[in-house]
Amino acid sequence: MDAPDHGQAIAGREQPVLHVSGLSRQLLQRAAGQGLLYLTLGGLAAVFLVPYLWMIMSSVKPAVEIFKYVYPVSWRTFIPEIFTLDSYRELFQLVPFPFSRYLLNSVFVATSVTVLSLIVNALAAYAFAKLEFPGSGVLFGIFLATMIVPFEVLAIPMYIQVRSLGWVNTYQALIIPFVANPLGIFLLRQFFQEIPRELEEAARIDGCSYFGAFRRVVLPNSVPALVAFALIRFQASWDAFIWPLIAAPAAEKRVIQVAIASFVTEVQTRWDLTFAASTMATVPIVVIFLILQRYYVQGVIMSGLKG
Amino acid sequence: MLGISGIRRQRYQTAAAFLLPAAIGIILFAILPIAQAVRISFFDYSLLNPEQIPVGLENYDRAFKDPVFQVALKNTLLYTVLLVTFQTAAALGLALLLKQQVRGLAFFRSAFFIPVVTSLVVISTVWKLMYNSQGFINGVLRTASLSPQPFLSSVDQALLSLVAMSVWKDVGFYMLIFLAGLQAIPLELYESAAIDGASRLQSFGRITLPLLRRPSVFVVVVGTISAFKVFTPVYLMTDGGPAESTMVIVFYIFRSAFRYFQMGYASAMSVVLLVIVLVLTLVQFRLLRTTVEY
Repeated sequence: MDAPDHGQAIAGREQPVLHVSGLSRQLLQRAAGQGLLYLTLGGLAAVFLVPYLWMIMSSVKPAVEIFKYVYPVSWRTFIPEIFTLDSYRELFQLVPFPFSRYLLNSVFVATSVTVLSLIVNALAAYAFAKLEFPGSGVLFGIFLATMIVPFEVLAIPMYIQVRSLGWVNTYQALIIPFVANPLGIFLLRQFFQEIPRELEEAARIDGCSYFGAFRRVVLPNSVPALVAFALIRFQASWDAFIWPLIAAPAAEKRVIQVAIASFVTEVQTRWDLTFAASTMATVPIVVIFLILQRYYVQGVIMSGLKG
Repeated sequence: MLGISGIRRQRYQTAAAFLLPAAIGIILFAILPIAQAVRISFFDYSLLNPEQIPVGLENYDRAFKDPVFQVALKNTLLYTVLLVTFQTAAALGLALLLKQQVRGLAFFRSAFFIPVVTSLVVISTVWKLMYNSQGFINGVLRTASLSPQPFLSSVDQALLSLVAMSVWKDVGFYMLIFLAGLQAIPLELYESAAIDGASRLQSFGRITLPLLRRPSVFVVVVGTISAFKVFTPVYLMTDGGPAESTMVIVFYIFRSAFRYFQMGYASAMSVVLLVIVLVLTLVQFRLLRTTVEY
């Protein structure tokens, strides 16, 4: 019944096409608009990428050269005159611990948090999603409510607790408190709920236990959600700063972020070492992110819009 | 064979077993510490002296009379207002730019998002060197024949410099939220608006903005809560200075607790921070409850 209207509208829209001069002006305007759009985007992309370029390029220059070409800004500001890996070499020979120690501490802590987090929170999410039990709603509500409390508020009592356990400057202080994660339980529960009940029931009829159904049916069908959550956890643990600064400041248990911070807060900052260390802390994470971007963005949007 | 009640009991037992590790973690490292934070705030408790002396509301009384805490509250508020304003506007702007069927969308989106996945320690460190009097930004200014700026060493510029860096770090995250919100708006709405003769500005004001209500509320509230907790840039770049111009709440709590070992006093200030965050969260729930239907 609205066909006439529709026809009229199309005619109305096509009208300018009848005038040739109008058309070319429109095309010109479009081209100018496109040019402006890409110019803006290119400029903005530079604003976001140039600090990385400066960091990475400065890390492969001799220390004196870093300052030499800051002004005037030219290609020499970025491209080294003398290419050297000296700052990396020096980092790996630092006393009392080489930088590789801090790197490995971070890798160990972040991997442990991620793996344990996946197991513990997936199990809990499965219980909330698939195993009906009395009080499930209330318990889920309590778990989620703890998410509101910022970690910064918990830092002092947690430090006192960790100290009374004798855990200061240990790996467990950096790992155990971050295993249970309400956000993870929430995200994975949402995902598990979408898995058709029939799939799981078929496995149960075939003699699987609940754990068997969880392992053989639910987990394989949730890979995107598990990857997204693993990435979010790994990054959060890799980037964590305030807690490791408080709970594990001793050199041997220092994680990479605390180690970098110690370069900057020392009396004299060694720019070359700082750039090399920053590059090492950043490049692996950015590469992982670029490869797994699809899952990551999904996870961010899931936690953003639904959280 | 198991009876109905047997099956049910088995299910409850499985649920309990599956929930146990998470429940222990949440009780030990979230619920108990919250209770403990509130309790300690009523005590005079120094780590150096394990004796805990109950002092009632004295810590709270002291906080509200402490000029440094007042400065910290004021600076945190200023930082938050500036950061949330600029970051929300910039995130919406970037999302609108990327919505224009851009070629190379993946490249630009990744470029804007890389700072989100870079640690705040690295970003604070690199930006500290960029803001340095011999750093990159002053190099650019001098190359463009502009006068170099003191940035972090100036009482007037330090807080603003932290805001600029934080916008740069987080805008990509909020851009994604807006982008997802924009993609959820049905194209037919714009088409019928165009048919009715609406200008692009009109459709932006009448369609885009109202339908971005949910993502906007999210971006503003989450941005506000996260801005209130700012710590790392202050710790690494300014140490609260110059002249306390970047003294913020969490940094002051940290300093009182872990440099001066005043656990009771620091806990009282933590509880004040907790109350602020709780109020903001309630506001978020209120605003997000009403949803706009297309």
